[in-house]
Amino acid sequence: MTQLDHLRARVRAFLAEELAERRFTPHCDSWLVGNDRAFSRRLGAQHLIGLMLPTEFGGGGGGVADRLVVSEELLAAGAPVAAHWFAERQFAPSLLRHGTSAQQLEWLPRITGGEACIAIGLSEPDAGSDLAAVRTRAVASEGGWRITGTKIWTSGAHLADAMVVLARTGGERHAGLTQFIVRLPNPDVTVRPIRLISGEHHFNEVSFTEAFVPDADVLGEIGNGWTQAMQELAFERAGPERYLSTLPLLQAMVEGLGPQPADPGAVGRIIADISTFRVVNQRVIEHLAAGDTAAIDIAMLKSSATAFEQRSVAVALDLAADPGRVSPPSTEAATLLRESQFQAPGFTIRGGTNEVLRGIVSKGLLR
Amino acid sequence: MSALDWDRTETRVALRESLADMQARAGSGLLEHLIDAEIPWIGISTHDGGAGGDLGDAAIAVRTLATMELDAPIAETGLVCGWALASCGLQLERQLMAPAFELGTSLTGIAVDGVVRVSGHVDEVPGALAAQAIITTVEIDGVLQLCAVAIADAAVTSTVNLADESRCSLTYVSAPVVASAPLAAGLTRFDLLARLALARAIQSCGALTELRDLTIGYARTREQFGRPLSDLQVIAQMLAELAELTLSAQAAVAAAIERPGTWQSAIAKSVTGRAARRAAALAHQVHGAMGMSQEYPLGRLTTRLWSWTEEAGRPELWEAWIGEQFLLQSSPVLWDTVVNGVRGESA
Ligand SMILES: Cc1cc2nc3c(=O)[nH]c(=O)nc-3n(C[C@H](O)[C@H](O)[C@H](O)COP(=O)(O)OP(=O)(O)OC[C@H]3O[C@@H](n4cnc5c(N)ncnc54)[C@H](O)[C@@H]3O)c2cc1C
Repeated sequence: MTQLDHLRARVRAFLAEELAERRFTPHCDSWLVGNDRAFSRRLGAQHLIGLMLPTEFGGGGGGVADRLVVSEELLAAGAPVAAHWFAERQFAPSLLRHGTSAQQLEWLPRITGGEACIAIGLSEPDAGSDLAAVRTRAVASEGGWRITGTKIWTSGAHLADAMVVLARTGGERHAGLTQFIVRLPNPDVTVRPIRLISGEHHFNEVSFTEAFVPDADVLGEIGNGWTQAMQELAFERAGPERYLSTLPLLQAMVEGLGPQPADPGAVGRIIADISTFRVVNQRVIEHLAAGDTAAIDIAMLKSSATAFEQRSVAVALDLAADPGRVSPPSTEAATLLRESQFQAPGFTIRGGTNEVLRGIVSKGLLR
Repeated sequence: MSALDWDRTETRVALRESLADMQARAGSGLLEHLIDAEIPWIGISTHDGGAGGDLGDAAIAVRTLATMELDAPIAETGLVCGWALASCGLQLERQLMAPAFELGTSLTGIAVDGVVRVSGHVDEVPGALAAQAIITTVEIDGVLQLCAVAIADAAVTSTVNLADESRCSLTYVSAPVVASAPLAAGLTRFDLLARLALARAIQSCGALTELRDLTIGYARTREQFGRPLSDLQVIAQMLAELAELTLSAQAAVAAAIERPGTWQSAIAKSVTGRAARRAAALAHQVHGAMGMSQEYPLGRLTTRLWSWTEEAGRPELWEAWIGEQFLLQSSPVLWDTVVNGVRGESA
């Protein structure tokens, strides 16, 4: 057994116990919708968060491959990882690269302990795909900055300890943007729910009215926000949550399918596709870890993988209706299907739309 | 273009360069040069009568040759037949070989005075015009054997695939086998077909990479409405999709080379075939009428991709096989199968 096999076995043992104790119910898209602080803390206590972070901060001191193994096992099981997901995935690497030692000391141990829930404040009403149109402003004020503006579609802001906000500190377009760590709740920050078509509350509109942020909570350099945000986006886009969001649904649908469905190829193709995205993912993050921005490969992975996720919901509908089924889909399967149908349109939008990603790819190809 | 485009280890880069060089020097005499350089036998160990090197080396040669003006059983000889023979403890020194592995293909054999003679008909045999022997399975006294039979002993009907590559029908009447051995334990006819499928996947990967680059090149230089086609967003998005498809084919093939076996080969054939169909359509659309011209290199790539996708088991066949293998397990778990494969085949 390799070290990674051991790690995988550890995660599986942990998940098996959680399930045996009925501590969570598997869901699709659990990295976005499954906000469960207690679960994240238990995971942190098992040293399964921040495997690629330095040991001095409670991390595993390992490589990207370690984190990938843990992430994919958690997602495949539909475990509720949303409470620590953004913090571990992008805030932690950003802190390591750009944070002050005080910020690292404060946040990294909390992240590895599963105690930090972070929201991402990029999108605005008038700045979606065109993120450089960000209008939220930060104005220098005694000992810090005052932020005014509106962020939108902010996942989990109503549950987060802090939100990383991209705001304008001067300049035009890409120049003059800065990242701030805005602690929540905050008297000058209003978090208003935006209900999804399912009626659920996962994302929000967040308004800032001269909200004060001390200098100590500026992340990285003033004016370097665009570059930092793009580095974070690389981590955001290059992960197994781009092809495993619907795995709990697919698993539920193959149960009861029996050995001789009318279309076994539908299942075979799913296996072939996921296996292949996994290989792309493994290679891409190795390049990313080696310091290569890998932006084009990452954009290709996310665009093709999320298109697959969307297709997989259609396949689930086919499997549900397969005339060779031994038994009809379970009630859990029906619930997962319903949830996935509601979530599916967002697969190819969040984290940068597929059209925007293909724009990045073609620019790279034509350079 | 992409970090996954080519294996950049030194020996592999050198091999690619020497093949390109051979092509430039040899023109239509390329096959003789390849034979002199022992290219068809790369990937078979010297102990088994081959030229040494591993599957990765053979794959580089096969992938590189996939885009060249050449119709010869290079992949078929070493990567497919050589592997099958070596697996069953056989070798045919320095011969070009043609696999008759398509399902439905069958010869019957009888042993008379210690000599095995075969009769019957095999179709769709690639490379039979250039090769000396076919490699196929024959049931002899109730045991499935891997046999080599001389092509000179067959009545040959010559046909070609869409890409004008020779795919012959051969008829044998009581022809003596050149070599035979029982199929190695654990090996089935399906596993042999999977090896041919792997070869086609590797070739498709080479053709796809070239197709992508050719199409990008065309889109940048062809101007309409006063600007290059690539400036039109809809064209740029098509180019990006083409690159995505190429990337997935490259990844699936890389995984199959790293962990050879029927499972990964089936995945690679499915993924490359699906990618090839869509990529060929995109490439033709971007090229407009130019892509339909025989003089322009696109058709050579797309006709090969179309044929290779349907040969050695089309994607649908392998997907059904993967699905069936998965569902035959007692409590099939998708994720575990993605990570670990099935029936001892490593994922
Ligand atoms: C479930 C979900 C969760 C999210 N969570 C967060 C979060 O936590 N934090 C956060 O900051 N944001 C979040 N977002 C927002 C997300 O980042 C944006 O939705 C995304 O960047 C697209 O912006 P938009 O919605 O304004 O669409 P628009 O930019 O208005 O795009 C609309 C359409 O136009 C197309 N389009 C736009 N520009 C171009 C172009 N140049 N070329 C071609 N086509 C183009 C798009 O591809 C799309 O099809 C979330 C979104 C979703 C769906």
